[in-house]
Amino acid sequence: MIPWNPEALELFNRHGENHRGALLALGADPDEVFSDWKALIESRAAAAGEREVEPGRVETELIPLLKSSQACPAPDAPPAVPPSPPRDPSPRAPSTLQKWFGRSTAVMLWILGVFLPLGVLVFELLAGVCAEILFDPIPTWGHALLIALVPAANALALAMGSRERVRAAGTLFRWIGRLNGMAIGIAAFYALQFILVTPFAVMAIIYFGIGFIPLSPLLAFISALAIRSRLRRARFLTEAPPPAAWWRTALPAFLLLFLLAVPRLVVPRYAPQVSDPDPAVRARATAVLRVLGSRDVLLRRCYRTQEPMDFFTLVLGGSFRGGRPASRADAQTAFYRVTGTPYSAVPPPRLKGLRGQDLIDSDWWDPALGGDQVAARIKGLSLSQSRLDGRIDSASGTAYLEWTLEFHNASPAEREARALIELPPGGAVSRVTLWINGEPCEAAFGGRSQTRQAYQQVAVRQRRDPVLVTTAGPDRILMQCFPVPVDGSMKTRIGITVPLLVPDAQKAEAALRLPRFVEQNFSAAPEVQTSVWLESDQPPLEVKGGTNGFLVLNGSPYSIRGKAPADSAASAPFLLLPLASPPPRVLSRDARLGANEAILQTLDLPEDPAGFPDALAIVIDGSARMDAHHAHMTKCLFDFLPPETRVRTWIAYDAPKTVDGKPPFHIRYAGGCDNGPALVQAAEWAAENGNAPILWLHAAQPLDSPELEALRQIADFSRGRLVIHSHQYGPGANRIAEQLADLRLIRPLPVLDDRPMEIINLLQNRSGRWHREKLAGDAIPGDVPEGSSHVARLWAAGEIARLSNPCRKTGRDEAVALARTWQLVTPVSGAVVLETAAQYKAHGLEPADPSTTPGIVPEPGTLGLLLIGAPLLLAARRRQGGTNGARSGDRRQTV
Amino acid sequence: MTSQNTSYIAQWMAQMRRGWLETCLLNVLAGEELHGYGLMLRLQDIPGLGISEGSLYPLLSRLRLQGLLAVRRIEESPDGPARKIYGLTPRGRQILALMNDRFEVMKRQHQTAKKRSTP
Repeated sequence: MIPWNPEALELFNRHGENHRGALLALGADPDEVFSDWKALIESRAAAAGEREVEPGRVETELIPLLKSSQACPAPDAPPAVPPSPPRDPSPRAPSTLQKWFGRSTAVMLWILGVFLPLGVLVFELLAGVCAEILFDPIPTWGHALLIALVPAANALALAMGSRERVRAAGTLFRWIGRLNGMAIGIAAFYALQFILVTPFAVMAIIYFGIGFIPLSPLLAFISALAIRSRLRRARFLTEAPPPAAWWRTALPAFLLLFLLAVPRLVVPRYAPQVSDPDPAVRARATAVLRVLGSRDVLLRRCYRTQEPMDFFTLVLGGSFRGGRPASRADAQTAFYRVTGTPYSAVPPPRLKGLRGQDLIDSDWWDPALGGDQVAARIKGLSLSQSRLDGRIDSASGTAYLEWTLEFHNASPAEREARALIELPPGGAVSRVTLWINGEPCEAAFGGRSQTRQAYQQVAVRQRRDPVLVTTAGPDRILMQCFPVPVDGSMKTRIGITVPLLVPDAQKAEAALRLPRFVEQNFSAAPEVQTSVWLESDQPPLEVKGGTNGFLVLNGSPYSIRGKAPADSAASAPFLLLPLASPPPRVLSRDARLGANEAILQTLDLPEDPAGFPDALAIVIDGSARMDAHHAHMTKCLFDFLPPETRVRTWIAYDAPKTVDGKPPFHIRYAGGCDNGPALVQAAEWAAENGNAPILWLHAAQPLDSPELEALRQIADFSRGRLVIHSHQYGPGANRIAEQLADLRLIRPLPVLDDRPMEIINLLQNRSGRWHREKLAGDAIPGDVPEGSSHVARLWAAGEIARLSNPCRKTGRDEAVALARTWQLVTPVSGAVVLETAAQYKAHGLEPADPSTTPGIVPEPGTLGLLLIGAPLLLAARRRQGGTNGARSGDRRQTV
Repeated sequence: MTSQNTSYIAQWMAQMRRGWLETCLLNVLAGEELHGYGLMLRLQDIPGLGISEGSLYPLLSRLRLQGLLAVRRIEESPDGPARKIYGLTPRGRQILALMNDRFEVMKRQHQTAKKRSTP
């Protein structure tokens, strides 16, 4: 095929258009006939050896064709009317005005249909201005690609300016038509999204010369329609197949963008319902958000509640939303329920654009400052030093540990360091120290709310130097210290009194599990590890955990040294120690007891050590974070649970699922489920079955459960016989246990080794229990050696728990007084270090007398025991050395 | 023949050709599918039909729109340029059969009229 001279083409078009009506009257398709005629003219020109179709050829061929076409009327057409001769058969060049108009139209289409949308896209990607002020038009890279399609499709279509290019495009021409349709759909969607601000944009352009950004979708839409018209004309000039109907691609593109916008409509409606009092509404809203919601939209709502200003949100959203607007707290709850991850555990969303800023200025803002949650990790706040010193007194069945922590703040603002610490089972904080200006200052112990109020007053408002330690559920404490100064450090120490565990009464072994972080708002570099140095009156049988094992130095006392990871993801190291047989009885005296009073401690061993409960209720957390622990859990339940035990299982989804028997082997975990309803149902069943124990296997529970009042009621009427044995997989808070801490209903299983069998073993009645009672006068036995004063502290902790039992109408004040006297952090008391005497006085507190605080240095009682025991031990070792040969040369032993 | 007579006959022929041309065209295509140029050649072989490209292509377009013809395209290749091949649709064949029947009837009517007019 040969090309057409533009003038020849113009001539053909002009004549053709003049004849269009006549052809229509004949019942023919003018475009088709023109196409055929053009092919005919081309072939004749080619046959004549012409290199292109000249106007003369058109004159020669077209005029006879036009005339003779009238010889073929339609059968029902009126008698033929001779065609009017071409008005101006000679080739006529377009006028200057026409040329200018044609060129300027093309230029405008290039500007408005290609360069403007492309420029606006790049500007928005770089600056994110619209996302900040109105709504986010480019929430994903997919949106960016779709928007980029508009200028691309327009440019491609505009590039088809000549017939040769259309012909060269071949079948691609149809695709260009389809792309143009998509561009129309995309531009129409965004034009609609901006329609409410379009009038303002027009005014802004008129008055200020700015405002093209919100107008660009509308201008691109009009341009795409104009380009469509040009495409149709270009197709008419060639034999190219007609482009597909525009709506065939425009409509899907529009619908796709609308579907992508659905999460923006769904989140505001359903996020508040996730906190609805009605469990059915909560479950439905959570299910909808898991399917249709967007993690990113939810996360942004956790920080910002500003409604997007786009058409669909404002017009459709208004009627779609209903109910109350979603607050930050709603969004935060919904985020956890939907994703299974607390919003604070993921980095805050970033501002749109390439500025790289967070949505919130996390360099300055700490939403959890002074609160009772650890919340998100703070940039620049880190643990710089950590050491754990301790003394184990196996003769008294106690240990005392001191964990010294130093925090460094490299952020530009003063920071609060917060950590949730898992204590050794049964442990109680008995000393808190803060270094102020290099001097150690002891804490004051007082009522829980009293100490928290003092802390908030001094720390958050006066921004002075306090540290606060309170309990956070069973065997857990929350430590918070503020302010860690900019480019400075803050050092604190927590002393913990611990009873040694006796996991299996059949074995003469005691265990000590070391404390660890379960949640923290500071980072801990891998090289910053907890340096552990323990002294023990007995050599450990086994030490597990730690980074590279532990070194045991023989001596009197024995030293156990090593390093332990300081991050909350690591499990806690533990030691096994020999326990004397028969178990030791010790007396503990303390100045805080009466002059003729002492605490007698004995170890109670179970009468039926092999007993396992006849019935067991199992509650399994259905949250996504349990997925990683499914194998461990199923091995525990399927391999080691006695088959004769009657079992019923609850999978704690948003609406609990009950299984009569062991849990199904395959469990679908999703989101962050509220375990409260399942615990209530399990407790009802357990109460009906003789207060059968409940085994609760769960991941972290960072949210309060609204369902727990029913559980409280069941626990009240069970009069302390109902017990929930819990085992938490992975780090994190357990707000449900914190909510129920006063009931002592939830008891964490003192798991040491994390073996599946261990969980089941702990449910059996095998472990030994320390029994402590206060004796006076002649009741004090004379043949019992005196042990550690920590025995008396542990007795006091037990008394406080008894007095503060919610079943008792009175006793709480007495419990607080006892905690203050014995300097203990309990569910009713806390410890706070303030900076000045005036601050203590203002809050009715008195710092602990350093002479009454425990320490690592052996206490007189312990020293006495050591003095008595050392010669015996030495003699025994000599005998052993004589029997077994020389071992005394090596004092070091790695466990 | 006077010029008046010539004009009269030309007008009468134009009326006669209305249906006649398309009957011929359909009959040609009944035998084989043809492209425009080939069809033109076949029709020009019929003496006195007097068809040109100017009337052929509008007629082909109309018949296609009426559903009597089908068109398939052959893309441009080394063997030749892009072409449109015309053929009859089933409906076109039915219509053609009816046309031929009617034409036979008309022929008989003409013969009858002519015999009766002959003394």
